[in-house]
Amino acid sequence: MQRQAQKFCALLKSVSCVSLANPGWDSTVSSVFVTWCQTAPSPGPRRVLRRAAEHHYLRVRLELPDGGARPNAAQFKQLVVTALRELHGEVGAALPVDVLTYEEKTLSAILRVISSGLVKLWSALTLLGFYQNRRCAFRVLQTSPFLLALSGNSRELVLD
Amino acid sequence: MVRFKNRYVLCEVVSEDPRCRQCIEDRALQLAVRDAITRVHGDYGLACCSISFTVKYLNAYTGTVLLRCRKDSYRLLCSALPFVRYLESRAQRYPCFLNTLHVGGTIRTCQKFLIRYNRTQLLRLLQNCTNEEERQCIQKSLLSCSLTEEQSHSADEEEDDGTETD
Amino acid sequence: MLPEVLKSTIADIGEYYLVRNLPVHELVTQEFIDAFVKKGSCYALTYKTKIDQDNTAALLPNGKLILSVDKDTYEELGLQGRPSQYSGKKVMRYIITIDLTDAGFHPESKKYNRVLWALREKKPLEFDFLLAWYNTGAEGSTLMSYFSKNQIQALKPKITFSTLRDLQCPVLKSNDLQGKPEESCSTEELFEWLGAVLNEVSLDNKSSSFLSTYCCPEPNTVVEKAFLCTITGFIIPEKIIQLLEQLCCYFGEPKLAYWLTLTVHGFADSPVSWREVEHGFHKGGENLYNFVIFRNLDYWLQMAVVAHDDCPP
Repeated sequence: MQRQAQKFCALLKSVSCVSLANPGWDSTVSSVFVTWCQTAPSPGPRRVLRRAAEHHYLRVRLELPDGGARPNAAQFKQLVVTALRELHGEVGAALPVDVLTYEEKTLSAILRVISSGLVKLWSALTLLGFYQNRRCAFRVLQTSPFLLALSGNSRELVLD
Repeated sequence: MVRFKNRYVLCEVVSEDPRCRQCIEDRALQLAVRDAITRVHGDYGLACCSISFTVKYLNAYTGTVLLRCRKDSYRLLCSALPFVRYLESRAQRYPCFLNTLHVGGTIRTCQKFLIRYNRTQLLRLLQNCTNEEERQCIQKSLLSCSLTEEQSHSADEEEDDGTETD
Repeated sequence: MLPEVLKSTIADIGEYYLVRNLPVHELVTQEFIDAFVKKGSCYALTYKTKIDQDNTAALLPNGKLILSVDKDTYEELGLQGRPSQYSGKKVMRYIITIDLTDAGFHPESKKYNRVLWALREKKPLEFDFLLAWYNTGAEGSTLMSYFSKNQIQALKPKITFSTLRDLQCPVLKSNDLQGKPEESCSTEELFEWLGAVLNEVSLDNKSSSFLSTYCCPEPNTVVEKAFLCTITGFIIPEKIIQLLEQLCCYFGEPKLAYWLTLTVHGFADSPVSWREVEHGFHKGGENLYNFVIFRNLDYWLQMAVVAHDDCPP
């Protein structure tokens, strides 16, 4: 059995007790991933991976005028590949993009792409204007090197 | 102000069809290359390569072509060149391909490379000779080639490219 | 299947308050400091403000008020601050830190009056604030009554439970972070898998699938039942520690589960992330950490941030 509690916490007080001096960070690092293993009596190894994320994830929503056919999952993927081919040619179309989830009702999806292809995918989605001769637009709602981060968006936190 | 850095791509047009030579001209080649870039790299690639893209020098007789583009985008251009499959002229397509010989920062280095390259090509021809007549013909052109190279510092670059391969 | 004590901890995750249009100077008045800041840990964060375009403010439990403001506001305020780390060559954002618990910060001091004057008259800043307060001692006045003249509303965190059936789970070894083929999965693979589970990504794709090639990391086992609980709201660290302790106690009795995890997402628009480390948005602004607790009470702590953030401590 596995339990999870996912939370939003604003002011994170560090729960752990070990603190290390910050090494000089370069601000272009795209992501930092720290893992820390601790066995009961003594602090264990610590691994810091910088710029290590292999994939990037995008949460996108397709906007279509009301009425008319909505694409199914395969058509949606085809649309993404078409967008890539239009802007970046065959090389772009060959970029491995995965549609992790797709909801036909809301036309929203989570895409996974190799980190080096993030800019290509993002630009291609932005510049796509038509789906089956109808106007359409992709909205990139959230992007992250960690899939886990897409499961909660504090900007969408609606109270009352 | 820093000058804009360019890259010059030296290639040769290889074709089985002898009629293809007639259609090696600026426009046809430019169109073919642009078409290939659009296919391979899309609108983005075409836009990148279009900045200062020209056919700088073209020799229909030897099939030598010198293309110019911006330094930032020469990789896009080079990767698209193998995808040029034909040249089109007067609504006729002649199958051919582009063989990239050299990528240089100036026209001068490309020219130097071309001379060296053609000389080695001649030597190879010499080795493959079957009869005496051919042999002498090539030897003659080899000698004349070394002569033009001496002059090449002053001579016009387009001229000596043409003569050396005779 | 869930122990009662855990359930009650989750239910008792505490409430928080939303105060509309609260002037920032209310937070630096002596009454507020005496009543709340010095008597427990008081948390405040602006609501619906974006760190990369708006002014934002946060009050930390150690009594520091942090304002992240744009250049215009900074110049109008006239308070001492420092340029933001992430604003590039042309500084467009400044960070102002005011220590409310400082000994020199009392009603007679020049500094106090200057701050109050700046926030009240010079440039009156108003935000919607999320507030939470935690104290161990006797209850004095509550936030509810203190801010009764403002628009205040008490909110409960939203809690959702779900049970996942026949879930593919990666096999983990607590002393092996990198993972070995055929034996256990690495921490990164686990992290991605967790995200996939939370986003309801299908885990059994073929490598030849057109849509997606994501599949559960190898080696894995199929777990009959997995329990998933999500709590959304403004949650204070004390409650998280409580929950973590309860989760550790869960392994007090022998259980079938080999490990469990606890993930905490930070607000993307908070001006600080870990301790007082400055936080920026860049592309996603995520700052989150994840505990993996094993049966033998070994644990992994995974922390993830994006470019506009320092490495966590």
